[in-house]
Amino acid sequence: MIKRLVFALIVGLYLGSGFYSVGPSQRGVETFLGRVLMPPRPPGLHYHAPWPFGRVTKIDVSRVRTEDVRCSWGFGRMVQGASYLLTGDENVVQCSFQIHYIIYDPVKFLYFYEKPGDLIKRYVCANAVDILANMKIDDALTVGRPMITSRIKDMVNKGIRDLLGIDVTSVLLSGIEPPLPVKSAFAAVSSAKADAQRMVEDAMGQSNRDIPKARSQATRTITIANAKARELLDTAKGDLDAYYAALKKFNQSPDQTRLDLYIDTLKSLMNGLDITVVDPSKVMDLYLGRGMFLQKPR
Amino acid sequence: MKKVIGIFFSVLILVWLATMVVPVYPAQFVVITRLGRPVRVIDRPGPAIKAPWPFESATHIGGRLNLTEVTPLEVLTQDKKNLVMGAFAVWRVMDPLKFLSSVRTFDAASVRIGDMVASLLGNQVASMPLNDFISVDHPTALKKVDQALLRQVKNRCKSAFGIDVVDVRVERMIFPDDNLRHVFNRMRAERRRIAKKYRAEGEEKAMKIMSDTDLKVRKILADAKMKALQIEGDAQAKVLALKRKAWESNPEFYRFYRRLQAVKTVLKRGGQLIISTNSWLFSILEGIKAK
Repeated sequence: MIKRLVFALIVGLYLGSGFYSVGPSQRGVETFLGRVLMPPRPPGLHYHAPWPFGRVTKIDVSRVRTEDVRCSWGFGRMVQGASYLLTGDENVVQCSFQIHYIIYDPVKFLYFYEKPGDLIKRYVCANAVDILANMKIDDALTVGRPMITSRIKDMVNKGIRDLLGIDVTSVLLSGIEPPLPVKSAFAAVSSAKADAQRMVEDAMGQSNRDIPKARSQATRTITIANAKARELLDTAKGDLDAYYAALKKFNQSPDQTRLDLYIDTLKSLMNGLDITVVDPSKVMDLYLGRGMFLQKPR
Repeated sequence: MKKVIGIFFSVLILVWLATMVVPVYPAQFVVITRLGRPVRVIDRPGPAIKAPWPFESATHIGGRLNLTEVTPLEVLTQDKKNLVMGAFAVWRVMDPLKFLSSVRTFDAASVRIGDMVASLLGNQVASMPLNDFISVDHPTALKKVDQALLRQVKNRCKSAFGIDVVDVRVERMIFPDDNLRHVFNRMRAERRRIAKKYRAEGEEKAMKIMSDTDLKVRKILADAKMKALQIEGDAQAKVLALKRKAWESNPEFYRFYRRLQAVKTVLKRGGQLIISTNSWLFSILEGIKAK
């Protein structure tokens, strides 16, 4: 009785070992004696024939996988100068990439190649060699970077998509630079650019100071001129007002006004002047001082 | 006792019968041999049936993709330029029987394929100028090289080893180390030239800005001076006009009045005044004294 129970239990356990669950981002590749049961099992609970008849391998298909690629010969081995790539204008650069990919055909991915990552790296570098051999180094280091990554993505996908059942979702250029022996020369160009820019900025700064200064000087000149003009006019007006006043008086009583004016003039002359009165009929010559003579007409 | 022996033998027979079933997984070949002689090949995944051991045996041959790296070698272009090139080949077993009867192992196959690619690569490169490999003006022919290599290698490996070469790619292309030194010198010299150019351009621009500024400043000041002269001139003209109007009002009186003003101004500074008894000034003085 017990023997039967134990026997039943063993058989039950054996058959029950065929249950398995597939996680939310996985697919289950189930085989029966080698034949792949299509399609790959979606997430959920499934059953396969117990070992050794049936097996299952679960693969995460939504996880984005990353590969860091450094285009150097002897992957993994550090060889001097191993990572140099030629550009179209016979210059040399080094570059490294980061590849993101997902699995779209788990069966292929599982069975067709032992280390898919390696193959991806090789293809990336092979395409990088081809792409850079057509570019100028200045473009490759600067404006050409997006073109490099997009072309690598296209070419790698074309090459290995069907082969490995993967889809490259993005390619990043994690670094592209001139080789170590010439790096400082390249850096010197950047600093020369910066120097040149600084020269121009200094000149502009100076200009931005000089021109306003000149303008304010100009304004001052004009202001002074205006003031002078004002003063001129005011003075003249003042004089003329006095004249018109005198004229009015003259028009009323001409002789009196004439006399008044004479006297007024003399009064102001009397202060600080030596006055000498001379009768010309009596005097022959008169020394006026400073070598001048008043000569009486003979 | 009999039961145990019975169970034991049943299990033995079951195990023996089980050798009739061979699971064949994807990317796998199974070669069925009869007493050492291969009789058939299973290339479809799934369970396969054969005669039980020892009549027929099953040998598994990997059908996965393999990668063979072709060590970089120095090659010469048509125009006698040196390049170091490396490549890789992706291949898999296609005909296991042929494979087993030729290279037999994967390592051996790898070596043979590597050598083949290397020599074909050398030939291919020797028929093309350097321009076909690196150029900025026209498209390079690396793809053509890859395709030519693939074509040649594929055919040979298929017929000789039962191997399907899926792809051949050049993965490395660089000048030899000796040349690299010259290349680096040239690169450094070129960068120096570019740096000089930037500096010169900057200087030129800066100088232009300064001379333009100078011109502007001069113009601003000159314009202002001119304007100032204009303003003063206008004022003077106005004054003149006013004076003329005053003169027009009574020319004689104006003259008289002006003369007196002039005398005041000229003689204000002090000095000597000589008056003749004939002069009107004297007559005024007399008049004053009398008053």
